[in-house]
Amino acid sequence: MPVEEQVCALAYEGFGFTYEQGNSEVVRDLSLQLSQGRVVLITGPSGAGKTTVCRAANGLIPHEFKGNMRGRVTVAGRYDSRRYSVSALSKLVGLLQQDPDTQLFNPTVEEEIAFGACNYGLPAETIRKRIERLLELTRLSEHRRKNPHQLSGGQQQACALAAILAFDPQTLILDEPTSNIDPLGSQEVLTLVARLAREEGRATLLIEHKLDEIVHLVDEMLVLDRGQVLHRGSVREVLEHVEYIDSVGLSVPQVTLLAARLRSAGWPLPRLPLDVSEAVALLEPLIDGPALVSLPAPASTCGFSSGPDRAGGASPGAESVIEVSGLSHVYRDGTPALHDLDLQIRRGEFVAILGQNGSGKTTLVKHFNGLLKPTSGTVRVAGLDTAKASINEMATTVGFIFQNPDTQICKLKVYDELAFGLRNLGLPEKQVRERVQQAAEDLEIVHLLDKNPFLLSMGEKQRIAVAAVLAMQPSVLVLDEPTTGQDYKRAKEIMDLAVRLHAAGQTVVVITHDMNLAAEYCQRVVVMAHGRVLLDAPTRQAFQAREALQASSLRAPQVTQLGQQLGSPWAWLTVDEALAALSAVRKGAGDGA
Amino acid sequence: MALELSYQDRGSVIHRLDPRVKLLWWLSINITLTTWNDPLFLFLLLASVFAYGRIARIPVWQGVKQLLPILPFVIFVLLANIAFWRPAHAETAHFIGYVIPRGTPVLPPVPLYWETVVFSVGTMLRLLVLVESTLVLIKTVSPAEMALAVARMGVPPEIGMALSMTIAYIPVVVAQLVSVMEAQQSRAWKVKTSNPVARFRAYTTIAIPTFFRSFQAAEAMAAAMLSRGFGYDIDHRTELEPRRFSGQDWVLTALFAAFLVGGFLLGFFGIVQYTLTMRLLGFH
Repeated sequence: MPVEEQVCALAYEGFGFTYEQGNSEVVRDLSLQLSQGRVVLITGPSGAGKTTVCRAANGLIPHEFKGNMRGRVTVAGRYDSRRYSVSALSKLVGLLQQDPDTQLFNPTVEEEIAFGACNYGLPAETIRKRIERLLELTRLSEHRRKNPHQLSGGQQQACALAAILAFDPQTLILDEPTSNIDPLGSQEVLTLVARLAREEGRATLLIEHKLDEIVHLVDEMLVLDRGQVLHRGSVREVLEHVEYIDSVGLSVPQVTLLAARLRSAGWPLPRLPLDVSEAVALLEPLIDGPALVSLPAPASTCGFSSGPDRAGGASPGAESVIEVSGLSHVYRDGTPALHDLDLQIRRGEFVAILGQNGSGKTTLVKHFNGLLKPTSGTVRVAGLDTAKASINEMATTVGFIFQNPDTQICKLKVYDELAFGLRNLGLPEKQVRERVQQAAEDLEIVHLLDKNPFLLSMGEKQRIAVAAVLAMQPSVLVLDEPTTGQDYKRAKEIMDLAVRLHAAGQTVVVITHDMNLAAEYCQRVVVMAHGRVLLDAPTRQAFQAREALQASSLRAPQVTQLGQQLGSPWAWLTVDEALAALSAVRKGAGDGA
Repeated sequence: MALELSYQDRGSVIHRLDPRVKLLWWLSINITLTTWNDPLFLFLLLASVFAYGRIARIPVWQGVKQLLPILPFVIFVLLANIAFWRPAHAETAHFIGYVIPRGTPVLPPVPLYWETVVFSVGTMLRLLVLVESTLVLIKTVSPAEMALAVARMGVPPEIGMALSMTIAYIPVVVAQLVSVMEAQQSRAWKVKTSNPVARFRAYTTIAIPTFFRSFQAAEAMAAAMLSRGFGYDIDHRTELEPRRFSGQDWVLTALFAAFLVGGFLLGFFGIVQYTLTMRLLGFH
């Protein structure tokens, strides 16, 4: 059925919104129509207004989030969102929010899924059948009697999605449904969503940062920035502007960006690839295969084994700063999290700890600063046994930067926030002042010292949180999922900061799901699965180990996969490396073609 | 820890009761509480709460352990009572001595009576009964069940949602609290101090981020409940396992209602007052 003849499941007409406490519109003049069976993607950096668009779909705006709404949002062609309640509109428009933790409030998975369907008075037999189907679809059958808060991040997200699908809304709005999930888990959730849209004729509006995984799943794409639509069209049309989109700080498919750069350099590419297989098909005829095979390893790299390190990492003979020996940890409820784990991290290393949800990454690093004590085995950091060291000793040895700066900020003035840890250590006020000033200068937040941190932007809060930890001058810095819930630009800002600290001699340990960032920044990769270390190798070598990555639901960056498929003996870790390698082996490059 | 503070279906007879009966149990305990201040009776009331929890298969040690974090506050209340509460007729009260002696610079003298001690212990027990009974209620009534029960009693769905959210919200707040404490502990924040004032001040440090994050979580949770049709049509909501008010529910309703009326009247007419324990201790 042509789009024009279909019932419009959801329509925004000149929609604009200013929050009650804000003074400018977070979304301006948005017009968008969602038809049945179509998947529309909205992407954009933090603060673009994406969540506001979602909230307006089922009436949370204007009913629950107050402010000034312009234009109109109409559901199923006739229900004006201003005139119907949220619960009435939600029967037709299911909204899945970003953080699954706050969307799960029933005692069991089964009851969680049934909750919405029961509220809408669906027949009991229908609900039972749907529960069974959804449990199977989301692979939660064996967890049906568990408390949803006992599930892993990915399973929680799947449970929240099933709870929406149970009442069969015509339209589905998904606000970053994979923000807490590992790469393969994300792919599964997004494929499921797209499949349901096609098979059941559901209109779907998807908000996502991770474009790699969805380019083939969506029909239309909008790029939103500061409340306005920058680009819209099919994914292929929009990604023609890939370099511009990259410049505003969005994560774009690496192979698309690479091809765009090659085209700018004069490569005859008729179109930009959207995935690795398209890229292989486009580039293979243009390169000299044997030359690629004999190409030396990239010179500029972050891997240990293959050249000088960009950020000046640990020398192979450097002393161990973290020594984990025979570490096992069992949580109080009896859940085993780590099994007889051994690991050594040398002073000055920049290490990524990767692994799927529930693999034990966070449990491991919480042992580094004594937040968790080993059930058996030992953890020594800078010579201190973390099970015996005092809080002061651990705080000055390991700086822990949490995912969400709101977890950490506790003072009403930035200066006091930076001074908090130092005062806890009992340092004299003069020394506190000097260290605060130094940390503020390092993080370029001197101008914020008199401000209230709670009134600052998320990016500024993140810098304050980092500065407050750095003021303690720890020998090891641990970053817990610095990219979760952040757009690519902000994630890169945090990682660039880590690089600066690393260059100054800091040992950095990063937990992340983001393979592109791990490849770009880290020297060494530790892959965990089921509470054990599955792979521990220099980054370049680790991303060549396809089987080990797959076993832990991970996947190498697109450019690495491209290199492998084109026959490169070395793993390419960044777009720049791929660009350099391909430029060197372009057919006819040597004879001036 | 967060999960220990949420509903867990342990399949006990208490779990199978209609949620309204469990709510009545909680109300009967806590309304009665407002009129009692005798430590002996309050201690028996606290013991009955533990016994009720035991029937619900909640281990006693778990209940005791979960009271530990509020001990600084309980001690603070106890000390505040000792410092400020005086018997109505000081001239006939049983004087022990001075907490702050006469002639102390700046500070006024603080006399201590046996009445003050007994009354203060009663106040402390009241607080413990309130907290423990609420914990038991949370562990035996699922939030969604509670919202529906309240809505079926004719209370507007919004209030049912607020109540349900409060219960569902506790593990979320506890989880927030744990992550905030971990973040502060990473910056050498210490709460393990024997000085109750220092301990109280240390807790205020974590209050700000916990409040801030909890506020965000509450907003998201309310949005999630509404987005799944909460309050859409309470009268026609589907029940997968329809629950009827059983004979057991009626019997316990009668029992709790009788306790509520009886307990309230005993307190109201001054029978369960601290003077009872005073007499038992031999003070006339």
